[in-house]
Amino acid sequence: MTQEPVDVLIIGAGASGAAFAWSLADTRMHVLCLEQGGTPDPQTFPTTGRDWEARRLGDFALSPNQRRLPEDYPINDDGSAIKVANFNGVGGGTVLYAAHFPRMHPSDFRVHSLDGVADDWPVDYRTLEPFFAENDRMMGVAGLAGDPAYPSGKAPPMSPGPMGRSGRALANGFNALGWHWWPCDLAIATQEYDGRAPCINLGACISGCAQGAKGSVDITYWPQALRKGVELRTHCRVREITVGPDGMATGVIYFDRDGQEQFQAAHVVVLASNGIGTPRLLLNSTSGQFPDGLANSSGMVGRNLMFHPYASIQGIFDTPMDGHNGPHKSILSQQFYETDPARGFVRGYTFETSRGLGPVATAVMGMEWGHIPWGADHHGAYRQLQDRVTGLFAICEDLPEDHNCVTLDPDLTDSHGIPAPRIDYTLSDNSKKMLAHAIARGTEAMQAAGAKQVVTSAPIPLAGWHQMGTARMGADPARSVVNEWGRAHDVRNLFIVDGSIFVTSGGVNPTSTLQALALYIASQIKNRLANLFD
Amino acid sequence: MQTSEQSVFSEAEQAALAAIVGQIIPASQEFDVPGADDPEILADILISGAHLRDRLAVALAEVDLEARDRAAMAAEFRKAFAQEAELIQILTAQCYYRDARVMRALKLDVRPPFPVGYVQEPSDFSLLDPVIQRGEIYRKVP
Ligand SMILES: Cc1cc2nc3c(=O)[nH]c(=O)nc-3n(C[C@H](O)[C@H](O)[C@H](O)COP(=O)(O)OP(=O)(O)OC[C@H]3O[C@@H](n4cnc5c(N)ncnc54)[C@H](O)[C@@H]3O)c2cc1C
Repeated sequence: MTQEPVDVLIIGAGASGAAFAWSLADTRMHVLCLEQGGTPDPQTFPTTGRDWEARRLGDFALSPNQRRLPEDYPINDDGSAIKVANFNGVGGGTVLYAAHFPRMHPSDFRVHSLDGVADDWPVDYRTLEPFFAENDRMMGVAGLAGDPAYPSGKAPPMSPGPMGRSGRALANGFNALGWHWWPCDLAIATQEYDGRAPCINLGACISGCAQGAKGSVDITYWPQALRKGVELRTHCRVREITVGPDGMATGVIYFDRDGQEQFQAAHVVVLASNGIGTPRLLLNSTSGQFPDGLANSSGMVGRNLMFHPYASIQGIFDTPMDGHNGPHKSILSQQFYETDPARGFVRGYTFETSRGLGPVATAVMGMEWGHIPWGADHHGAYRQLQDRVTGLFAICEDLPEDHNCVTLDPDLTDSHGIPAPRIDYTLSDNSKKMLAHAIARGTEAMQAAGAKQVVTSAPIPLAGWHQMGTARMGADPARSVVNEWGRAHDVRNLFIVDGSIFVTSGGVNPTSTLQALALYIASQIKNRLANLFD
Repeated sequence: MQTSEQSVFSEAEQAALAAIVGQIIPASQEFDVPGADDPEILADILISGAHLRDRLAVALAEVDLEARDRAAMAAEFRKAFAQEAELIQILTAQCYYRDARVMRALKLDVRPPFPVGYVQEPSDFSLLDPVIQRGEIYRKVP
């Protein structure tokens, strides 16, 4: 069935799609968003039941391969040291994210000029600054102004979340070592904010926030975008983007909630399906004109996949910490963020705290680490760990490498028979050195904070929650997929606004930057409406 | 509560599972807690672990229910069937640590986190003084 053409069709209602839709609604054009999942219902989120920890391995598992809900698509990540974590539904990854909301640094946009690696971005921190601020306001960010790891001018709209006992212990540890630390910017309301209730420390941000304090885009951007007239169609999975004889996108073919194939015509198509979903769709959109996938004359679609390898440093204390009480993140350290050649690797990483463990996770981790035995001694050992574990994660900058890629699996398909993505990803030597450095320094910090024992591991396997780089932006059509303002070099009415367009990954969680970028692209489109396709 | 006849686990598998989970977390008078083979907790394990039945069946068939030394039997099982033992270990922890009696013994409120939530201590941002005194650390770009 063919439907009336819309002006702008967005694929994906996650972090970037929501921000972009909200901004573009100013134009009063007919903006339609197709999303393969449904709208989450906070009343059914895990923390509403005593089985909340168990559901993390069930319907709220982080991996789509484990969750296997109808809206999920399978991902063959057997060839990847890091496995994908995502959420497919209105809100996208922000439904499950920890809401840690740091921006990339000015240096992150200039890695080639500064360190001779990868490429510089075609935009910079100053250009994005007004969009960072607008996004902080829309997402409702809590934090503290004045962080010396950033240029002045960053002023979160709410006061920071609780440091808690664990944050205090680690702050003392960082102070003892003379290292930088700062309260995290979190998109978590610490007061009534724009219809959102303040955080009550449920301690399960990555299972969805039943309180509605966490700024996931289903409750931040979407209600406002819908009020501004954006149309959102859920349970609609796009199979491919179609093109006309002139090489312009004409619309999309999708499966509606009844599984019926539909064609939706559009004057402009915008991809916001994330660093895995976007290259998958482009590679599935082949035609006589684009035999290797849409917008892929550079061969860069699906290449340069970046994840952020994570190191885990868990400290065991002999005094009570927070357990799971509180938002996952409290403070960060960017002592090792900027390049220091003496360390033997380029670029750097952020330490973020990871609050503590719930009752079930204490038992599971304790048994896994060998600290809690089977048998009669189980109970005593459990009580030695209960509320006494707190962690640091190191988020290491991943650099783009051609061979780390998303392709189409020759056999695997989703429930609609659409070819599924396959991921091949290995850690670079630079990443391995960085992880080793982070483990050593993180252990020092834990000990300085008073930990009696430290348990470390790297990389964390199921930590592929940041997916970047697979349709990168750049001025050179031979080496990038979209231009300086998000338009595909090859298809003049096709835009990409999600994490795929990242040129490099920085050493911070990406959502603040990718949403600022989506707002920036929307603003560029609004400014160029008269000659958008020139 | 589901009766044992309704379970996807056969009678023999239920007995084997009870034998293993009771060894993972046995009852304790000292800590005033039931074992994971307590009927209520076991019933939860059988329901919650139904989806694992096929992955566990072969291993459970090897459990020696006649063994006099149950701890040694469990240790042997753990060695011989490491993956299955890990699945059972996680399942056991999930069901055991949400049991009301166990939660009370651990001085945990017997309730889900929502809607009451938890209280956090006030933050002391004067700890930041030395960080602020050291000044800017970000890398300037030309
Ligand atoms: C457990 C977890 C913790 C995280 N913690 C943090 C954090 O603390 N801080 C941070 O910055 N980031 C965090 N992230 C990452 C964050 O969620 C992502 O960076 C962000 O959501 C990416 O935005 P996006 O718009 O690129 O894609 P997404 O938000 O993933 O949205 C993509 C949307 O597209 C839809 N889609 C895909 N393909 C199709 C199709 N063919 N048809 C229709 N719809 C489609 C998907 O269903 C999805 O809803 C976390 C993620 C996870 C999973």
